[in-house]
Amino acid sequence: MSIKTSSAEGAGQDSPSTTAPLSAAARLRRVRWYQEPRWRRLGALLALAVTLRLMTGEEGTTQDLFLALREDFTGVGLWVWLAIAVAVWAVREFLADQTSSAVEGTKKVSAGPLERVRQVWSADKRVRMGVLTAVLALVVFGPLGVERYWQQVLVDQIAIFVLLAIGLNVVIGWAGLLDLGFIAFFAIGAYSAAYWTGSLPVQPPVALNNFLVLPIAVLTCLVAGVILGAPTLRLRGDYLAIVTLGFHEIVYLMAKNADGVTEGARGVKVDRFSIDLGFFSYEWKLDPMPYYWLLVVFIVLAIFLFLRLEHSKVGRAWTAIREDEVAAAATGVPTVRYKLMAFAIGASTSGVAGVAYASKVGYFNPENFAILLSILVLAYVIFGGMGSIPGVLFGAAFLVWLPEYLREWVDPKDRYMYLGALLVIMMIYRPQGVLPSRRRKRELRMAEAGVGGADATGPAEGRQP
Amino acid sequence: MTTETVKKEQGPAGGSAGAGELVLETSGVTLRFGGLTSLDNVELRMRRGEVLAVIGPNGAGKTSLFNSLTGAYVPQEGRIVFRPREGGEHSLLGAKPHVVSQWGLARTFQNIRLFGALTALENVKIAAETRLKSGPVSIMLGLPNARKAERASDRRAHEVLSYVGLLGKMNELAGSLSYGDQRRLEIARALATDPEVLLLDEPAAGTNPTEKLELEELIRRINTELGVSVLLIEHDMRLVMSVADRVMVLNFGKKIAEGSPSQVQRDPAVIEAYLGAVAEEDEAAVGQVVAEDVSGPAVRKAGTREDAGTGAGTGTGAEAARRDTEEHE
Amino acid sequence: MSLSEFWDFLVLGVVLGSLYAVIAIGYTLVYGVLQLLNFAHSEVFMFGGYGGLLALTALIPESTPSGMGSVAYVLIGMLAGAALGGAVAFGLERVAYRPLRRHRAPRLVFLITAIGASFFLYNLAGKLFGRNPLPMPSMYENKKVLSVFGAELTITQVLILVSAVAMMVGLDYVVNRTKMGSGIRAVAQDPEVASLMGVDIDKVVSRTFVLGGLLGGAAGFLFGTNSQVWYTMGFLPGITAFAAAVLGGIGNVRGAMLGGLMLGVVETMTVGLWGDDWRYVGAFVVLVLVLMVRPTGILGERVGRTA
Repeated sequence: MSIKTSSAEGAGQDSPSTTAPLSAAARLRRVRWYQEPRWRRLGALLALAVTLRLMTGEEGTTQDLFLALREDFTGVGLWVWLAIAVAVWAVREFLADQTSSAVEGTKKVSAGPLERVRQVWSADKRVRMGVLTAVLALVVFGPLGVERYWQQVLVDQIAIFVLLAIGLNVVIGWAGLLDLGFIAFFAIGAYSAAYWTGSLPVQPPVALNNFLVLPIAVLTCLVAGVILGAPTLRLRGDYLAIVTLGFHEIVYLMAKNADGVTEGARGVKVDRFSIDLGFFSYEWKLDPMPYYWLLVVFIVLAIFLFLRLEHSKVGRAWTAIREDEVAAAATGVPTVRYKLMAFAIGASTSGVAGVAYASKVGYFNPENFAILLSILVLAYVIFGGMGSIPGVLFGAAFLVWLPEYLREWVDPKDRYMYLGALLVIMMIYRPQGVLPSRRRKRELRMAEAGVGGADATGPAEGRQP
Repeated sequence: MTTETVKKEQGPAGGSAGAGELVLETSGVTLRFGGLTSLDNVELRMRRGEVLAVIGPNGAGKTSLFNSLTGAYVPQEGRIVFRPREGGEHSLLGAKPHVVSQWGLARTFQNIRLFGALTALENVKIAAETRLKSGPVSIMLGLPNARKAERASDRRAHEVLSYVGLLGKMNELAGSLSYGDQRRLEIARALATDPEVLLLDEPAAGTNPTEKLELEELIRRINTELGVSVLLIEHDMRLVMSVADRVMVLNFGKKIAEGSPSQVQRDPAVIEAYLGAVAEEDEAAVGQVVAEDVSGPAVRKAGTREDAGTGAGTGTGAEAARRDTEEHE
Repeated sequence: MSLSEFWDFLVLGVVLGSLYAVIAIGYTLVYGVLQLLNFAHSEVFMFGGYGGLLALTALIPESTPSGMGSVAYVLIGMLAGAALGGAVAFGLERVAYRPLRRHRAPRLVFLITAIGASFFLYNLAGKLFGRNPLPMPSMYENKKVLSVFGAELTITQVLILVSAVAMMVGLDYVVNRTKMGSGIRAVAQDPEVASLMGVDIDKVVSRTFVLGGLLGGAAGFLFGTNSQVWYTMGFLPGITAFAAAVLGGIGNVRGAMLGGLMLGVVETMTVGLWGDDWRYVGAFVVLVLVLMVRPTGILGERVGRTA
């Protein structure tokens, strides 16, 4: 490789022997005009404008492959985007002082009151409990006032995904393990519900009530998680991603193709939740609200239990493993066992969500467990802030709600494109998420300064010389 | 008081109890990376209660030896045996690192490896907790044994932190502590696992002279008060000469000398190793070693016996001589 | 499965496996220099398919060409696929990964970015080109031309096999014999030392992505010729090829080739034994089993050095 730095690319063209002797420093300084940061930024913005035009432009069709491209590059839209890009660039380059002082000004104005709120918040426990109670009351009773459609969304999607996200948060946020097959356990939970309530072609030894299936599903997913995790968690962390992805695909294919056991693509009908204690009986019917309250109970319970874990030796051990697996092991932390624990806890939460989902919708098929969903849950957790319960709650609720809300304005098929872009942008500018956990934020800052990791995906170091 | 409580958990400790008995023994340990032999037939005998220093030029295999002892590397040949106080013996060859730690070997790292985003207290608690039994279920349900374990680890962590003098900084983030404090915190973390043998990998690297003195004192206290045997890798020869009972010298993965500090200093092979390394411009530490430690006469008249008495030159000479005689008894 | 069926499936498996091998090289190269699983490589592959499709749709006449015309169109398709694949890989590195490297982001952040980029790219392709599968315009009369142990090979299959082998040989040469290759190997072995020696890391990383992208794009075109082109076509071949890279020992170029061939054969054998429904199950079971026995893959990890 030639001895050049990136800023000297242009200078390399004329070889030193033919030109007048330039000092090394002078050669380093010589940069072609388009390599100046200012013009590079313009180029990047223009490229961004074209991309945005493609993203917001015409829907393509298979009949005419070039339709979308033709429309996108000839229409007015492209010029609008390009103009915006140039305008943004010009403001940034030539009016930088004014804009930054304006931003500073608003920051200064808002900093004082914000700081005072923060102080009150952290100083007084009663304030915190009060706010928490108010929020909980709003969460419990607020939905009574919304339309039926949104109530359905709230139960079928938001509540279920929040529960899933809380589970995945244990795996990825706390233990730092990338699990791309999380929905596989959701599927296992749902099919467990179907099996044990006697809704599958194969009959269980005894048909059980949906509520009794919950512990069984937890156990099943726990075991499945351990079986999958035990061999893979010993390996380099990022292999886990691919193995879980493969596991998901296998579970999905089994659900789809093993007709004799799972009804295959036809899907399964499952009984809804019901309680019959003799003196008291209740059946969950079509009204979404009773399901909602049931799920809120699950969610609150899960949060309560997991928060205890986070602030215990288990949570500290997870952090240690995430930061430096070698040091953690040398300190006596059984790393594989703790990783397995996180993996299994996440899996069983997913299983509970699966039972709840099956018992709510009453009918499901393998397409309800597509790989896409695993990635979606991951996106929710990351968007909200890995490792932070408020962040995860917000991330899941907001990102499930948003596409539903935008349904009329944005083509639903395009929303995953935006979601992907959002993930990338998040990772570049705010990898800690919207409402980050304090530990995570510190870790990322330290990783940037060159100390420590922030995940358990590094190589499982040097067991074999 | 703190000293006593820390000590109590060590069982019937005291540096002298069972002295002479081997706590750590390796034979024929050979570790290869591809074509490179990192450790070549290394023998190590460590007595219970002693401070054994391992010195040698960079790349001599010191850290590889540590990694082999703690299960991070698995040597292709050889035997590594650890004999805990309660009797029996464990083979450390290829043992899992966390198991090695739980048996009673704790280590620090050359390039400090603390959990930077956790507080000093949390760092130590992680270590203290590895001995406590409380499962995730009892923690989630908040059962009494989980709470008891939490309190116990808290108490233990406070003790250890005050023992190394970091109690005042327990709520600071490990990553934001000063270099010297980070080194001490690493030692505290290792101590919190109740080790019988403490492996220190260049604990003085990057510390200032005051911190070095404190460190020297800390190592001595850990050794005498807590009865912990210390295996020490160090480039700072003054520190080695003052705290080590015996010194072992590695070069190119081979043991080239072993004995009391003063014996080793006079050993021609050792001087050759360091001078040879200088000739190859190996690294800065060697210059330091030659300049301040293998003082004057010993270097010039490489290995002549007559220089024995004055060899060390520093105040540690007398002490080393005393240990010499002890050894011969 | 009769013996003749066995040979049929074996030959099919080798053809498919040679494609997996070419894609797997893309994963392994990037892993070598960045220690990063580039999940979005499957979209590079997919865009390669579209590159060929677009070029041929625009150029090819109504009637199926023959003779030198066929050869020319095959070359055009492959070059277009490789070019678009390389361009996407280049853009990916520039936009998504380079800022993260500047921040020294943890590996988890890289992985998530890769997933996000993959999501973005395939949905963008779906939006631009429609979401139904399209066949490649026919460049030649697809006849059976060759018989190996009774298994008959079509022109497409021979084309795949020959081009895949040519690409692998070419890549092996580039990595082991050229200046660019020595830069890649240097960075793979120790980025810090390499940069002290004057290697421009950014440039090497960028070139590595492009190199992997060229191969992946060409493979996408070949894959599309063999079946069809659609916006999620990258997903399963991508995972399988990734599994192949891990299986052979990630970072190890020859391991990726071996792993690709193996998984191709396992896949077609699974289809032969249990039917098309179970196509991808076999590959994953093999991956998990092999990793349990040999965590560093069959040929072992050797970042930067070929076996």
